[in-house]
Amino acid sequence: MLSRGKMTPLEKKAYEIIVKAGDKGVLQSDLWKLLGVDSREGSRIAIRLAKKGFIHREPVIKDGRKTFRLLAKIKAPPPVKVDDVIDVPCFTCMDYNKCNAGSFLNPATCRKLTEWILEEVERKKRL
Amino acid sequence: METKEDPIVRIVRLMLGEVAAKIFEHLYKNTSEIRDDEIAEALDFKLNSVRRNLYLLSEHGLVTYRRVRSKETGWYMYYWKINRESVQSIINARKHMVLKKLKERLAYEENNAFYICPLDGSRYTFDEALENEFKCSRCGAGLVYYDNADIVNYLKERIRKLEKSLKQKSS
Repeated sequence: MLSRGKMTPLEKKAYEIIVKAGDKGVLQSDLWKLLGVDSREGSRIAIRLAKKGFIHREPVIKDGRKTFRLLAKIKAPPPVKVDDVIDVPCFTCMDYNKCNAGSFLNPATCRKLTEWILEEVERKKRL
Repeated sequence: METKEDPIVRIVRLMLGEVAAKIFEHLYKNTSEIRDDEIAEALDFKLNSVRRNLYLLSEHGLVTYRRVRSKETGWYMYYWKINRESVQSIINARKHMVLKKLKERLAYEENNAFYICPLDGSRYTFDEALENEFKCSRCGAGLVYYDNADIVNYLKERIRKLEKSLKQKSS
């Protein structure tokens, strides 16, 4: 959890711009233009956001001038990988808690599972 | 054009219902924290319904919040975001569950001999076929032996792949 103070409306706007930029980040030399403030105010906002723990400031050289790439500390969650399991009907089955060996609903005789297995076996044969 | 739904959203829908899934999806697509009133406005849901479902999602560890007291009103404001680690662990738990089901199915396929109706495709275990005097209980046609080697091989392959994927995650 990040330790944070409250954001001013302008800091919030700046932070949203930085978050939306994702991994590319936003150059500090561009931030003030996007916010519609002067460059000094833009730099101060970036420094305050970094001090409050919302963003990282990475030093970079742009057109021979030193500036900072501003990156949000909250990042988009990595895509959840389910390719290896999403096609198995059990994965999204609503009855999965009731389905057990020996129960009325069970993986041995489940109609949905049987249909899926037979379709997959046939599909593999055709390849 | 229909956009493909994220599987985790589908799982949340099955677990907690449509409203919770929509709220979860909204938070999942946004990287920043969002207030409950902003969610209600964006999705056109009632604020109390959004709050109820956010707490429901929170109880399942899918979302977390940060509480800040407003200096103007003195009331608490809640900023919500997805609990990334928890989402991953729910997916992993589901994968383990699927692995268990596939193993149970494999054991059933390996421990039984099967017969099939050549007319309607109904499958019978040896005991069921014997009970029906090797005739289909639906159409009365004579049953023939069914070689399930392809099914066994397919299940083994899927189990192996799933085990490998789960091992990689835990290492």
